[in-house]
Amino acid sequence: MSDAREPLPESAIERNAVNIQRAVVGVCVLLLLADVAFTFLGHRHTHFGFEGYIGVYALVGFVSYVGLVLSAKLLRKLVMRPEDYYDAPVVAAAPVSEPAPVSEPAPATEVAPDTTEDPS
Amino acid sequence: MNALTQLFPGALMILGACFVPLFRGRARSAYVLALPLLSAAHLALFSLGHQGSATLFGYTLELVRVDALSRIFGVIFHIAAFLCCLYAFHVKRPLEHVATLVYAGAAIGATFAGDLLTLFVFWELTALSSVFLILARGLDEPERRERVFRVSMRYLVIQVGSGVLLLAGTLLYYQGTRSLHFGRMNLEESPGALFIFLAFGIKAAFPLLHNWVQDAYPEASVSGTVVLASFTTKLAIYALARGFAGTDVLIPIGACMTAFPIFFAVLENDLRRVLAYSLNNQLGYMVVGIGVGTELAINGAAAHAFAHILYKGLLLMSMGAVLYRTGTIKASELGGLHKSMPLTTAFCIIGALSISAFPGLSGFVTKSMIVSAVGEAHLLVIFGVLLFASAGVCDHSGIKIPFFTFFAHDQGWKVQEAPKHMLLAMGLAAALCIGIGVFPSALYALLPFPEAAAQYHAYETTHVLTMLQLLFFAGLAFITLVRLGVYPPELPAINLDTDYFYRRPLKRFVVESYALASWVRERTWGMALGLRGRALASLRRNHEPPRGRLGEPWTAGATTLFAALMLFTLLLLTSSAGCGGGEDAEANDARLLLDRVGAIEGVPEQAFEARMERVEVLRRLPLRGESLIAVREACAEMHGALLEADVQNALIHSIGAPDEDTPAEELARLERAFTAAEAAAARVVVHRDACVDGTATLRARYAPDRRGSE
Repeated sequence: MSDAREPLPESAIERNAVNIQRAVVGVCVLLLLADVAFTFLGHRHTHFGFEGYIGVYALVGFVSYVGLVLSAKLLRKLVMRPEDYYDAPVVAAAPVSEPAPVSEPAPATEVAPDTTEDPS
Repeated sequence: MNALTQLFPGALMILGACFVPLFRGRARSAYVLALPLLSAAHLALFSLGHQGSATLFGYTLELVRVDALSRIFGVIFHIAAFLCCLYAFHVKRPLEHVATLVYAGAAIGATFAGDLLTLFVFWELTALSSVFLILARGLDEPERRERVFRVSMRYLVIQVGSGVLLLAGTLLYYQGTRSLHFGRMNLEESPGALFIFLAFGIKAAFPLLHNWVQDAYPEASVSGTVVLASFTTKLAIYALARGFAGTDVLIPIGACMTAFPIFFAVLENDLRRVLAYSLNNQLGYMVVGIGVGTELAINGAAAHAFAHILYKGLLLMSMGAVLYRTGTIKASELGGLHKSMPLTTAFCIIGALSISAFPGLSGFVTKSMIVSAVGEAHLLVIFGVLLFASAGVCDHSGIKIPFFTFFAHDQGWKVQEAPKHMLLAMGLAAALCIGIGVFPSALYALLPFPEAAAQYHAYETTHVLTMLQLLFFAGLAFITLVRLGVYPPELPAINLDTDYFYRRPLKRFVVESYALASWVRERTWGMALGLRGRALASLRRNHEPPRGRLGEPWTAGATTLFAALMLFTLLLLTSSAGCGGGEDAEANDARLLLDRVGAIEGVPEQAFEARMERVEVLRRLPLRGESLIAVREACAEMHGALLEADVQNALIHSIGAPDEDTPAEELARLERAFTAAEAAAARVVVHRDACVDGTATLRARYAPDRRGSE
């Protein structure tokens, strides 16, 4: 793959990464305001009691997402193996122990914030 | 026109595929693209309610059954086949084109199969034809050949295994019910139904039976993965909707399917494998819908399958284009591609928003039907799981796929935009995603229950608002996690799934037992083997090629292929012979009628619902010829009345003998039941002779020995 290739010049999307994030936050706030307005002015069509609270779907979305990603990270400790894991023979001529599961990756790769997320 | 409707839908694609290798260059491309269009025109010749039957070895087969449920799947399979052929325009080798067309044609044939035996033949044909789409990648990339071959064999074993289960189930089911009709089945009714359920479950990627999807799909060629993801699993969804709608156990199964794969999707590095996990999750929604089984839910499952084929195809096409241009599809090696592939980026984002059910796009108007149906059934836990899974879809398909491919950190890729035909295919799929989202009524009109669908409004304020909240706050969570540095990085690694068990311990067990067995054999049977060896050598001298072709060893695969081809040829022969009009058509109709009447008699007396359904099937059976119709009416009336009498009798028994304490309303109910039972008994007497004599005459004429000998 890419061996030390130069990236293309920055695109408008990359330049505005922070603005895009701000826009998402803005929309989130607007949606909550709309929910407040709708609760008092409109009629909510719900199936369950919990749906009646303001912002409950916002909470569900945020919490589910964070819960999913964090639990998946834990799952990684259990199931992650090197890419050639299945290529190794199951039984070697001389008995060789099963390839040990790779431990969590070196922390160097762990923190590598993406350019779009750069707050500067 | 009549002659054409004697061929089953999809037949043009299968037959046409045989001639693909005769064409060269542009002519071949044009021919391949024309076949799905021709086949779609062929499908348009069939009217709703069409039924084509044939008799094979004394069994009545219903080769074609066109109703609203089979039609919507037939339509989307045609659209998908066309898009796949367009997307694979660059492929020079005829192998993939032939495999795609046969595979799509077989899936369409299976969709319109009215009986279990016909379904089985097409079911196996989809397995046999699709494996070439995976094998083809080994031809392009010799260094992957070994790996691709192994994955193909794993895929084939599981697919053919599903077919074997289906065949076993069909035979058991026939033994129990005396009918091959592919309709609603009860798991309690016959052990055959359970086998059939499992066969469908394998192809629908039920939890723990799912891993073949993630194992095989990402290993296919650029266009092959798009093709694979369109047909097999959705055919299984159709089969479940046809056979097991309203089966309660499907609800928890489906809920597991929505939740279980998304954890793996978050971790997976191969982006086409991420989409295979997400495919599994989307199937879960459909399975839940089928399990709920109300009109709204079944509509939702069918609509979601329709929309899903388009947006999943679109996402896989965009990932295929990236693989085609960069040579990799690992998230850890990609990034920043929006600068060199802007159109692909845009199409991918449309697909990502569709699958996330963003208002205005196709996923929103279809998934909401299933979620609403679950809400109406007051299944709180399942509802919660579906909401959680919606946030999960938003992560792996909505954000991860486009973000890590096209944005994230620029890895310095300087590639061309995707080829024009790929862009065109993606553009069409994207336009359909938007079109369905903006004008859902066009899709709703095609659904199995169009009246129920017409009353459903996806764009209801509460729903739009709540869905937007869910999605935007999930997006906010992504931004937060990335900025905090806790979002799991994309790593070059694989994750163990259920395939671990058969790829490691089971394989080790087999290898070691084999070694042990060889050791034992060498020590004990050495002498016997020496003798056998000499005998074999003499056989070989006389029969091995070139002297004797028959002495060549036949592999299991070749035998299966041969058997499937034989069956398929028979099917073709009977489809042309069986629907030939005149005497033959009448004979077939008569046998079909006898089969359906026999099916009612085969049900145990107390299975009221099953009997009711069989009577309805008989009542709706389209027949040619007035005398047959008269027999059908008489038998349907008689069996309906018999059923009514039995139901009323059961009611009378449940109330019990009256005494002085019996309240007045109980007495009134009892009286009503007696009156109804008497009326029903009177109706039985009226129609009895016409039905019994009519079927006896037909049996004597068209099926002289079958039922008598049993």
